[in-house]
Amino acid sequence: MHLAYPAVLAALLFCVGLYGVLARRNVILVLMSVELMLNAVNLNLVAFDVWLRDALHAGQALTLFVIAIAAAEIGIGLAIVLLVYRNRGSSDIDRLRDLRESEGPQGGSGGGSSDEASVTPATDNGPGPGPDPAGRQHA
Amino acid sequence: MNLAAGHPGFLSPTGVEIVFVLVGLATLGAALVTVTTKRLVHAALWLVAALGGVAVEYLLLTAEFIAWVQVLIYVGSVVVLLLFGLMLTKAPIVPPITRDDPSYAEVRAQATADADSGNRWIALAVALAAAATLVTVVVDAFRSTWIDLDESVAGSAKVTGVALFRHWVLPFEALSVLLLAALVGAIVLSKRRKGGER
Amino acid sequence: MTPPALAALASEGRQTLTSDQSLVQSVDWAALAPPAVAAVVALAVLVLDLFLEDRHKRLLGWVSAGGLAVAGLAIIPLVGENRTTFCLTEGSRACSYVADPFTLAIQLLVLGGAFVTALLSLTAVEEERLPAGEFWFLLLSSAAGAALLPASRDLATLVVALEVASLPAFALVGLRRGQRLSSEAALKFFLSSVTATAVMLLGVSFVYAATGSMHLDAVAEGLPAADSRLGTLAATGVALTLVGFAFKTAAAPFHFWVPETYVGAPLPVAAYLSVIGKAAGFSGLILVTVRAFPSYAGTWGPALAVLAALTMSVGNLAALRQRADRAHSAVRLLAWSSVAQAGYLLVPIASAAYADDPGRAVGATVAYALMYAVVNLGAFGVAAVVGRGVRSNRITDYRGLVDAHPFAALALGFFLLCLAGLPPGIIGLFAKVTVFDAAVDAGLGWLAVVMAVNVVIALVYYLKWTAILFRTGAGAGEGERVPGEPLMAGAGAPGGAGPVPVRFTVPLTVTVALTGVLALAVSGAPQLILRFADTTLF
Repeated sequence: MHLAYPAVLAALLFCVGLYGVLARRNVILVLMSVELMLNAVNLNLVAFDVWLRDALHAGQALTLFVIAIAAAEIGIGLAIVLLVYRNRGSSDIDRLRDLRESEGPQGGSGGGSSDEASVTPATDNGPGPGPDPAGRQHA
Repeated sequence: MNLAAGHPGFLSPTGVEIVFVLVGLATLGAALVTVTTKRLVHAALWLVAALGGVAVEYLLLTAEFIAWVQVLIYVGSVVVLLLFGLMLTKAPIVPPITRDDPSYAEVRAQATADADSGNRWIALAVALAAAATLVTVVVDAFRSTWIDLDESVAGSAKVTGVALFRHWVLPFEALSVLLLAALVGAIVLSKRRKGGER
Repeated sequence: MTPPALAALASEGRQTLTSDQSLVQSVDWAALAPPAVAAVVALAVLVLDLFLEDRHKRLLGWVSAGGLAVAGLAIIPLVGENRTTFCLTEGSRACSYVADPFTLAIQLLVLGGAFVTALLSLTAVEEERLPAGEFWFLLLSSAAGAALLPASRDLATLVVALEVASLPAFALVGLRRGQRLSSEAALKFFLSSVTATAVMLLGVSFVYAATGSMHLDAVAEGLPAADSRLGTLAATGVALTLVGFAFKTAAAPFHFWVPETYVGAPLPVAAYLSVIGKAAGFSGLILVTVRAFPSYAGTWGPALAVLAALTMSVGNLAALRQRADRAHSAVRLLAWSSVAQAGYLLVPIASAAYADDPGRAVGATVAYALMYAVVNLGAFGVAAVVGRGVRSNRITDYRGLVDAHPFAALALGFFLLCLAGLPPGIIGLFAKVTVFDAAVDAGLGWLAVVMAVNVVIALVYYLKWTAILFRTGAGAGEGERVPGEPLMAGAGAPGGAGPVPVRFTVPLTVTVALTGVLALAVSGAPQLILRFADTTLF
């Protein structure tokens, strides 16, 4: 098999995942996109391992490790998302503004710990201005 | 010719390539739908399709053990966790009303409203630029390189197991700490907090 | 062509086993002790937590601190010998775990820093009612991962160690479960970190394709000998691999997560991230640049130089813009200051690209990092003390600290001067000079100039904070508050309600005293740290 097939598929999957990470507003959708990126990397590693006939099977070993890392990260990630949801009532990235640099002198919440009364999910159609406050940067 | 599934000589080389490309297209399509659909639960389900497609690709590359691990862990638990997460954060889901219902348009709009952020056009530009770069680099590098799939299965359970435990013990053991830390961290973050905690 | 050559090598490796060859890798437990002890103590603490009642949970903290001290002491027998373990049983016999001087220096930094963090956390865990067993377990496992990282000599172990060091930190940041700030900080930290890991792994896969191996030495040999058609692929892989480590070191433009995460996290966790998180980042960066990619020095050298310049400038300029009366401004200022310090840490790594002996050139980073670790942890220690008295922890709350508690004021003043690089913070000055020398020796004159300018800019905010500490006799009429004026505008505001209440606890006293004494000792005998800049670390 021509090596370009798995390599190109992996590259395209990675970029699809990258789009998802940057464009999606709901955090869980962002997590799904990260999973796509990691799968793309795994496909690369397996393809290269088979091509190189690596005696140590470094590619396959790292693939298994990446799968384990991804599972661990999803576990922690979802726990964090649930925590944010419980504290805030929404899992919408654009609405996480309390920590931004450009707050006024009193800051967003001054470290207060009162939970919001409402726990309805976010359905506002706010235009989501400017740079993504999660501050995600990429190479 | 041995027709047993999993035998490396099962499909002719051209056959393997054709199947690989077809499954690859399906995987890519499913991934695209995952990142663009406005309906959150559908995104999770298309993700299952994408991950399953990748598992089939692993099988075609004769990495059998990894294919099954992929199915077990990714499709089996990661997606289930994501669905749990969607449900527990009360992700907006279109309720079962028909199109005839007068409020259908409004309900659907409300349920699909916040899937995408405002800067998705920038994201698209970035992703397209990255895709162009990576595909060019990769195609240029592997213009005339072929994988030889005729030899022994590269990723059977035995081969992978031997490789892991002969050569990769240290990261394997370190991962056990990682998994335990993930477990403990996830539990402690999800527990209801005790009284008096700040 | 590479694959047949590699296939030949591979078939060479498939030798028949003789009686003196073992099937599995040998383990040298003494060499492995520092990270292994930390991991074992982590498990012990988690189990112990099951059997302790709430009022005895304090014991867990002391056990953890003790365990980290033992792990740190385990480094001593390894000094001077280059012990290796987990070596391949066939083929190139490359080893995955090597305890050379670089490893031991960074392990000392990590385990010592984690020990000080543990002391710092003893009070916070109790007062904020953080879940004790889990907190100590997560801290110890993160420290174990960070101690494993400098010893890794193959990309798989390196990636896994980086994850083991980071993942518990995500949970630690979010551990104040009732607070919105804390959970948001954890989320942002987590998302950006995971994306950076994915990008880095893509780079690793490309490097693997180009060289056929993951062990750093084999990669170093394989990259220049790679097939010419794989050149661009290899270069892309090199660039992408650096992204993940640059993110952990909080190099610009990957620094956005820092201030928000530090403010949202419990203060000892912020201190931990600022020191050990950075240590993990830059030691990984050193390993991949100097050990694995020396042949691409022409690529990553200038890139890292630009990153270093950008990082220190961004950090210092943002620190200047901090308002003194904003909530948590003390922590925010320390966060931006740590971003700037990361810039200084990157300078010798960039210089290593141009040096004849890169293993020596990066010694300046190790020396600077040791100084920075001691001093930064001390500063966070005093911030923790003040934070106990005044929840908002603004810089204005430090006004007149010298009246309330001269020990704290003097300590913080000394730490700030060390960070700034002014006498009497002599060790800060010497460390900066060492870094400066590295840049000049490498011919990076422009970087040296940028660094000098940045040091001067940084003096402004360090000195202003120090001045605030010693401003006695606060009262009305000292100055009008001008809203919108940058830096310390609110510092002269009337209405400060007398000296800030400062209440030390035993562990906090010990922390500040320990770091203060260490900083003083190292100032008196700078060679203790600076000799790392002179020896060959690899």
